[in-house]
Amino acid sequence: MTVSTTGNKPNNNSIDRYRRPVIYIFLGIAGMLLVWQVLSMIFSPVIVASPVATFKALWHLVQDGKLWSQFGYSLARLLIGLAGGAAIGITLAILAGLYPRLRSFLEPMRWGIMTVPVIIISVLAMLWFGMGSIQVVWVTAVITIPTNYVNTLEGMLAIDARIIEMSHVFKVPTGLRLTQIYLPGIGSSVMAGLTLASGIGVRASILAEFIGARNGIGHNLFLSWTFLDTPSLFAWIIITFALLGLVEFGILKPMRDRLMRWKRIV
Amino acid sequence: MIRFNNVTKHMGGLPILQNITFEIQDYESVAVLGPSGSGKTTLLRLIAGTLQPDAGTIEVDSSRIGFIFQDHRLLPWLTAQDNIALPLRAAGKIREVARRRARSWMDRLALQGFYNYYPRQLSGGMIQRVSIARAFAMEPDIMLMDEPFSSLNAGLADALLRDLKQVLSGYKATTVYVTHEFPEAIGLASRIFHLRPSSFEETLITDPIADLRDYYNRLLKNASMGSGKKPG
Repeated sequence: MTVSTTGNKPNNNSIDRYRRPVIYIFLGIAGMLLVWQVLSMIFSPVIVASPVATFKALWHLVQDGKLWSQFGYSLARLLIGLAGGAAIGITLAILAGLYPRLRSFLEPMRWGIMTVPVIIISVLAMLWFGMGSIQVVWVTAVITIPTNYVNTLEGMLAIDARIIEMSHVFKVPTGLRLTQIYLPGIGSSVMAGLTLASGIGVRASILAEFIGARNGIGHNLFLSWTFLDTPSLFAWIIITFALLGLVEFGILKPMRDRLMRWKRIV
Repeated sequence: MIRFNNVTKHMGGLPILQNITFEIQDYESVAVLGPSGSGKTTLLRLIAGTLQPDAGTIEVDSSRIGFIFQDHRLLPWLTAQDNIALPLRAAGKIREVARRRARSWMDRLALQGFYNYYPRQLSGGMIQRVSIARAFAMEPDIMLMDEPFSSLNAGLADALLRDLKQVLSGYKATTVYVTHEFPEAIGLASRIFHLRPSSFEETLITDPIADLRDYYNRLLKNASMGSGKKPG
């Protein structure tokens, strides 16, 4: 049998909506530094440490080796907490997407967690687990569950019903439906949830360390604040940025690139 | 065999099909002809089992049903060959075997070299070919086709219809083809079901050329009388 080819040859233009021009990221950083320098010239050094004083304090932390161990504690707690929050939130959302009764059952819990301030969850965690890593991990996980849940659930509900009907016509079993339809279909929503959860998670874990840990970035922020060591306080804030940057560029970006590969091809 | 016995189906509170009774024998080709909203797609969905009747009974004597959708329903995140392989994997074939068969169907439909292209990289005609390959690759006993070319321009639709006829001529299956174009129906089927909002009739095609001549004569007559209405 011979069949003539109709239709155009596909093209591979590199129009990429996910591309971020790096130069503008550096321009943004320069803008922030400029505003910071101006503020440090207006206010007292105890209120706003200058960029130079802050980077000196940062260099000092690097030199005495304290930075790496403290950064390591916070990073490990954050990653375990985020992974826990993502695992629970995404799994529950997939199940809630499949079973509307479970979705209704989980709604009050979602409202509850989303409404309760981080400080209350952290105080309760200290009461239950004492000070230290467990309470920080617990707070990070709990606080990020709803973000992962809501975004993933939206993705589940947004999957085209006609695609689901197609899978029923072809008798695609549940396991294959999950791996071939639902999981790739919710990729964008999961990534949006994880990105938001990372930011929320960093804030929650630092706060939990601030009030309930004996090491980590949050605890060092607490010490700097207690001793009014403003350059050091600002240095730890910059380290917090690096913590989120590491999660964003070291973990989330490669994940997004892999999951969204099919979207990048035009 | 497909047997409908006094089947009634409502959608959104409106009666779509009422007391429909028919029987389609194995390897028979039937076209379902009717205007928009007459329940053609609903009829196919009832055969496919994705809808259940409100009243009456449906017997479908097959476990392998192929479906070519009007709106291709390919998964945008799977390559062309993996889209075709999906029903095969659902039937228990391992990935490599499923892909091999998918590629052989792509070759038959002039899609060589496009195995790893995503649907968004393919043209409308190529996408519908992938959709056809997906439906045939699983070697169904019953093939359901829901106006598969209605979204394409006339030239492309004609070319694809020729291809589909070629594939069907070398393939043994019970086929049900939904369309609102009489010439399409007559070219593919031996019997036509005329589905209208309040009626259901069957026509046996004994002389397709005479039927087509009659159709075009009526079309010309309608046009000369100033009515753009297509004869049923």
